[in-house]
Amino acid sequence: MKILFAAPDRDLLECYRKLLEEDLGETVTSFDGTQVISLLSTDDFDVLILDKKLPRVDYRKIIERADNRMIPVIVLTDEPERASLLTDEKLKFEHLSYPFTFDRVKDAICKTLAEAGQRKEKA
Amino acid sequence: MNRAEKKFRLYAILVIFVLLTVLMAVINGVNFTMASSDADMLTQMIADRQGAFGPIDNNPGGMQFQPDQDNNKDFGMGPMGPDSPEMNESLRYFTVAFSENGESEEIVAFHISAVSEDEAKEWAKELVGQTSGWTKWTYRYRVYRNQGTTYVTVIDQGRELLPSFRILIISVIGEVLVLVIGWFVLLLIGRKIYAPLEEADRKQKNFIANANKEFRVPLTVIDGNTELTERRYGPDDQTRSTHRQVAKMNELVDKLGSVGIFDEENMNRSDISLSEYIKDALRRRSEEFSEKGIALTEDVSEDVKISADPEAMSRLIDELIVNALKFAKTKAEFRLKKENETVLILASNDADLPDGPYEQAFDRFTTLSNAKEGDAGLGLSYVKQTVKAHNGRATASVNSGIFTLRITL
Repeated sequence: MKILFAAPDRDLLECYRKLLEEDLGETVTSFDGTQVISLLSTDDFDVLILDKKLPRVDYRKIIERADNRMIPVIVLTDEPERASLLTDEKLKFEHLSYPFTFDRVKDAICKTLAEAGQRKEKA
Repeated sequence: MNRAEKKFRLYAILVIFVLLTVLMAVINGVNFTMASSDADMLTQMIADRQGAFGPIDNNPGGMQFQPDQDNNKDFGMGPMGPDSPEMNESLRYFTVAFSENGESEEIVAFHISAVSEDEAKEWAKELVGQTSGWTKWTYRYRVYRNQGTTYVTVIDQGRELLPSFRILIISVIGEVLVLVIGWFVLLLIGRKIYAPLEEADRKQKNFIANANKEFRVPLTVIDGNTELTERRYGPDDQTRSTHRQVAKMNELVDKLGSVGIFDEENMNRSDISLSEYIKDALRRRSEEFSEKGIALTEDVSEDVKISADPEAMSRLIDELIVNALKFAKTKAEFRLKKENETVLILASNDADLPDGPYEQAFDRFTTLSNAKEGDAGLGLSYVKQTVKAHNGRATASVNSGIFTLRITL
């Protein structure tokens, strides 16, 4: 499995890169929106974990690019659960509100991949 | 104009209304009391002179009673009051004297044009059983006895009361005008008056929201790094303690995030069975009560339905239960009932608190004296906010050592 983890906080990226690599597989990290766009164009990823506040590029543009490449996306947000529910992205993408535990991230990845698999089968 | 601002204007206009009404009531009340007092003084003077006003010489054809010289010596004093020298010419009155068998003996009615002798006699007959007071709106009467004869004196105070009525009408018109003008002034400058309050509230909410967001990522990193440390070196007391503290902080952040999110505008209302919500929640957490040795009692009426935001209501019930779990000593009770159209939730528990109201329990970051370490003081703030968003009311009080949260929806 290859994961792209994009968030503005470098400590978070480093910590989760290590955890994800230990449990799930290769993890590429980025704290720059332009770089993420570039990575999505050049590499294949099984899942994108994307912080809404990633600098330089609007997160919706990144989601659109990932969607074109059929890469499932998990959106990270610092808004409370309730506020997340009020946004329409909830209908399309898995959301995780900070603060979360590593187990919740793993669960979210598994769920997202399972749903993506079902969508592919249907297609 | 938001709801709070409307409320502010309504309260402001209500305060103006109450102050003006009190002022007008005092002015008119004193004015009318003084007019009554003047009228009583006149009827008393007539009574002192056995039914006639002024010196006996001024009452040709009137009752032939000897004037009271002691009182008579004061007669005519004062330029404006009832004892003014002009009063003798301007006082309009009649007196009817009745013998012991009830027959009218003498009538003095030539000082009044609006009432004939016959009318005076009939009118006085109706008043014989009384003592004093107002009759036919503007007439003041007094009934008194002397040597077996009963006298009824009625004086016309219409002209004297006219200024009082004018003041009353002017007061009412003035009050209405002030209220109308006040309302428009509040509409014009209310924004400016209210803005600092709104700004303070907005700043508080922004601070909470920003602090809340700023905590979120670091907490995630701390928890993640602790997880990594445990993987490298194995879990120990320090890592477990860090996880526990992070979990506490996560809970606090979660609650902080909830405070301020719910308001009337973003409610997703639907019909829910509050009975089921409460029963389910209590069923899920009943073991926690048992573990803590708290006797749990529930008295939940069947099928109480309300229109509410399901998520908010579920959270509210959880907060009530968490509150009872935290603070109950030996017993906790949850009651739900419907009275007419009002739904009443009562959550009570025994507590080490003196009797009295505890409205401060709903303030953000406020804990009561029985709070335990780590209590953030946000749970009941959330309860209050959610109840308010559903147009309900929440109160907290302690009576005979029982802390009760009363919620009406």
